[in-house]
Amino acid sequence: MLEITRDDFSIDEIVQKIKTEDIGAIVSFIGIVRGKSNGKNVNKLEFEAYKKMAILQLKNIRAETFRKFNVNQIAIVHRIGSLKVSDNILLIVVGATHRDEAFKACRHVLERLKKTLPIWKKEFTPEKSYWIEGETHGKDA
Amino acid sequence: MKILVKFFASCRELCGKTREQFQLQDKATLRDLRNVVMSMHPILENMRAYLLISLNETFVTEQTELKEGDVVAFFPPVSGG
Repeated sequence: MLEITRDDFSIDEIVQKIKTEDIGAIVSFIGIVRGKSNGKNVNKLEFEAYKKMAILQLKNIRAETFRKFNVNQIAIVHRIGSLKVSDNILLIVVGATHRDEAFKACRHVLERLKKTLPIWKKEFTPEKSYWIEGETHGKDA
Repeated sequence: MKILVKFFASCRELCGKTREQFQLQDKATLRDLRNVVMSMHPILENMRAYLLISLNETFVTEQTELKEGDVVAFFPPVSGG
């Protein structure tokens, strides 16, 4: 399951889909909207995606993770649109035979996604709004 | 040849548009296109060092030759997650 969506996700539903007889460990990561950023209050975040490219990048990340780690299942859901404090942003769920590979693979998916997934975040404080721009310069893509 | 350029996030806001069509000579490269886009939108100059450019939804080098109907996107470093 790879999705870029405006809708919230059900963690339970996705974990149930991942569970198969060969899975002994499931590791998940959930990214959430923080109420503070660098000491400033945050009212909301807006996420914009280059959706067609983002889906391709998710497929690339998943394929790369399967090559590097001995895991059986990977699900990634990234939300876009306007999200308020405490809303879910991102879900990564990795299922594997054993826990060690599941933890490593989940971390790998997250780090790759943060460098290459064409999604951008705009932060809204009570005073102003501004784009948060990542540090990568595309060399890792 | 005609090339469609899409702008995202801060690039979109700075250019004031989501997409624009450019006419280029045959065998033009992505670098040639970037220079044309920069001349049309000099406001992007201060992003030049870190601007990302994709070709048909893929990251490629600037030496890549373009062809009729290609879709190019200009955007800042990503910040999802």
